Amino acid sequence: MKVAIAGAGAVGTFIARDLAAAGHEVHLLEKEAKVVDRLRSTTDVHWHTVDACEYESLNGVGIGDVDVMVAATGDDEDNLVISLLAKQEFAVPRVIARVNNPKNHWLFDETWGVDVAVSTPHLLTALVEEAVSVGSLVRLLNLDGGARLVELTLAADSPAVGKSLAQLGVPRDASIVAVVRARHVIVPHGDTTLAAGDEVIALVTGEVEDQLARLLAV
Amino acid sequence: MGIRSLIARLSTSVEEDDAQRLRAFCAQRGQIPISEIAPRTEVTAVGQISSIRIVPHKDSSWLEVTMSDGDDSLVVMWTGRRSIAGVAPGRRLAVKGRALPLAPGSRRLKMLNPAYELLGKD
Repeated sequence: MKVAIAGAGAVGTFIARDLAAAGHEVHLLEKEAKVVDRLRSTTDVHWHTVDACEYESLNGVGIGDVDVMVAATGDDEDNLVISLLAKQEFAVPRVIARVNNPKNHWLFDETWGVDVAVSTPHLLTALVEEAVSVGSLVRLLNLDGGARLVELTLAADSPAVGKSLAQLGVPRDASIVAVVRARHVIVPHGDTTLAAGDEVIALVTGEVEDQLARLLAV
Repeated sequence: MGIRSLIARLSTSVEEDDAQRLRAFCAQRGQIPISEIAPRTEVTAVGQISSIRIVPHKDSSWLEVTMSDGDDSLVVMWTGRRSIAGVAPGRRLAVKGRALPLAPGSRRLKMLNPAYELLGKD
């Protein structure tokens, strides 16, 4: 896969090394020549000393045929500009943007060409919520096209305990993709019967999330 | 010969006739038929607007235009717009930009905020 990463800070450089080690063709874009000189010897990727916020420099790097663009600079405005250029001008199939200030998270959506927005504070809250919550629905991941992956740990008094999935009547536009019980992943079927403590993982679209939560929680 | 072509002309339906005219117009003005556009290459496509949709998007909206060249269709999206003067159903349009699949894996294509030109009827 051909991947372009904008911003050779700690985040960008780490991703670049990781992806290069996994055998991907990585292009790292950094506007400070000093940073490039310092890191070139230790990070074996294709380096470009350019400003990723400019159309011409992206064109010169060959963004026209990358599979993924990662906007990983420390500046949210820059990341938005890079995402929009990548999507609108170069039709990059997958654009991933780093959110530095969580207050800006709402901006990072399709309007700005962002397919996936990654915000460390939001990830941490999701993980904390996931660890402490029993009986309430936790959003794990937003996917392209409006679907999201959610998780709910069944409380002992959940109305779903003792019911099979067929009896539960999962709404349209929702699908239970796995049930985790005692560290084992159960591939769900209509006759899978739910028990207290089960971690139910489901794919839903926005509207049916509440319906599903009502089926599984009190 | 003259009579045959006249009969052929008279026996085609209005829709077919319209489609044929549209095809001829697009073949003349467009760089490439919509069906032959490759994703991610810069092209100019020509077609007639068959439908317009305003898609709400958080606090703004997107203008989603479907244009057809008589054989295939292309979706054009303008973000943050409710209307564009002159962009209306039936209007012929040239758009320049890079297309991407409408949805991942889809064969249908869309263009995001392309440069556009309103074209006259013939």
